[in-house]
Amino acid sequence: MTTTSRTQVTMNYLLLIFVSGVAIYPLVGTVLASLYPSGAGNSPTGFALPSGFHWGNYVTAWKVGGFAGSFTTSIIVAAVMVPASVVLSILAGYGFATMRFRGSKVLFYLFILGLIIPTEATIVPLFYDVRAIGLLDTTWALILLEVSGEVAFGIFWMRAAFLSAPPSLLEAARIDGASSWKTLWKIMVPFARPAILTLTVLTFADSWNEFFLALVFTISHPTAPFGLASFSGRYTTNIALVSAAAVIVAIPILIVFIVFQREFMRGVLTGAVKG
Amino acid sequence: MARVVFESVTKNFGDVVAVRDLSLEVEDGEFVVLVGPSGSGKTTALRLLAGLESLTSGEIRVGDRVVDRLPPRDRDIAMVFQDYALYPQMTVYQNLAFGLKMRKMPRDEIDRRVRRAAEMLDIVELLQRKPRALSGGQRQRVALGRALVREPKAFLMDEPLSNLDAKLRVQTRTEIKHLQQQVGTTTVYVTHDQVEAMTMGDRVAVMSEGVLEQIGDPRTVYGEPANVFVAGFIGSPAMSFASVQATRNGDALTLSRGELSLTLGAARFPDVPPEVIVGVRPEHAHLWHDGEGLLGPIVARTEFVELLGRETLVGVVTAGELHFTVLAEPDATTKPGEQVRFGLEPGHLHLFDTATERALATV
Repeated sequence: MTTTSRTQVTMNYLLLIFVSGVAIYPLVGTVLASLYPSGAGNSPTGFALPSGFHWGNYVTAWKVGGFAGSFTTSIIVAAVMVPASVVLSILAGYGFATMRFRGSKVLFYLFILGLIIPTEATIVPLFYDVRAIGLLDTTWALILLEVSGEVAFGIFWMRAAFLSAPPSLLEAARIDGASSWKTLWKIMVPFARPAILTLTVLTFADSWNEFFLALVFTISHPTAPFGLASFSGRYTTNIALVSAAAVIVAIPILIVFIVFQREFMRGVLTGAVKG
Repeated sequence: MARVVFESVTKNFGDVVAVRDLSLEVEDGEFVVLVGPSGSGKTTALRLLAGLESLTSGEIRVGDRVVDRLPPRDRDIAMVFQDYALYPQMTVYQNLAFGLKMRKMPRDEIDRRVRRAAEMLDIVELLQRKPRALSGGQRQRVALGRALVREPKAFLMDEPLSNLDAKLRVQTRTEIKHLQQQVGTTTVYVTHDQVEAMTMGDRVAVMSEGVLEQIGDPRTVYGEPANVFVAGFIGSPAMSFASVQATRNGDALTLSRGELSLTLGAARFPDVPPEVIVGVRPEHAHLWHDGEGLLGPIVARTEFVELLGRETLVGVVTAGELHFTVLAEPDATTKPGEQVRFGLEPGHLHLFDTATERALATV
């Protein structure tokens, strides 16, 4: 019995180490590559340490990529879009989870459809719509489109989180005299805090990484990944510089993840382990 | 405090009738227990009173007010849930205060009420803790406290003891009863545990399949069950039943089945149909010693023996495949398969109609 479980534990750890390795390898590789001397012909190999740590690559990459401007745009977009889609997802998810109203099922599936249909499929009509309302090439276009894309997942996610609350909790609040609104903010939101923070992290990552919509709708306000894309072509062979740019773009997500890590894990694992 | 009245209350869920034509009056300050097996409609009845479900037909009154169109918060009732439903992110104090805060009560009044309830329930030292840092018994007290601070017209309790271990359940049972007597608030209490029902209720309402089968004080429900269901549900160990022929012979009444025949004499018996169900509680069936005051002897075979310490239960089966449970002395020596003789106490045989299962007489 003990032997079996010990073998199992060992196997589990081996598997986890292998998967972690697969996940970490390109990241470590990228960070190492970013510290190689810049310029063609200095292509890094695997995990070999560079001769010296060329931190200057980051300064160069920051300038070449125009990250000062693109970071500002991305931060503005995320600062508006993340709270907006999280709040909308909470409101709609709460409605779908706790209220019975005519057409709720149809409406819910309509939102789910937003998860299934890829942006690429709707981009052309979207372009004409955005142009028609005069938002083409504005940050608002990006914000509104990202919010509309994100709430599909957000509603799905928050509905599940609210459904996992014991029904008696809602009933107790009703008997205690709380309105639906009060019940949501005083009882359900604190209850679903891990799920909400997880949604915040995921939404931020999605917003930060958004490339396609930015490419189509806000060409004169480039976002961070857009800055990274500007390295293709002229600097494609300058691996060190491209790597430094990639690390720069990834840092904000890393920070957000580290800040919310504990809650994020709890949110992702909710339902996976009997609590 | 107030009377609670259900008048011809019916609740359907689609095609399923959960509560059928329930009429029930709970007097001011009374403790009424709704008891029945799962699916009997007792919890639905409570939820209808709380306003968590809407009526299909009928009327519910709390005090002088018809409440069945009012939302739960306007009914002035407080409920204790089976899983306690404490707000996990709030401290015990906040849990108790929440309902009062929602009613915009002044802060010092909230504080006064919370502290008084906490003292009554002996949870003062827990006030700053969160529910997850409490034991099951402590959570249960907080749930009671949340109802208590509201000082409502009625307490509704939905199996509040079912998540506690056996020992704590017995202890809390007494405490809830005591608390209710202290504050004198009308209480409707739902349970599937007939021991809880018998020990706690001023009156017990037995439900089955959405129908109120009988309501009465515990002694009446136990001693004079209205039908076979109530007779079998109330009492542990359960009443034994047997289908027998009933024959009148002058003043005497003979109950028989195959070779088995018991004659009750020298009393006036009501008219009974020729076929009846006879029900006997274990404490009215005894092993045959000198047979004094017993009807019998009835020869039977021992099926099982349950030693309970203070007494022994002996399951027996007679020639006509009639099963009885006999309450025997703790030192009874019979073993499964052995032949035994036993007798029944006259005056404690419950006769029921075979078709309607309604009580006919106790002979």
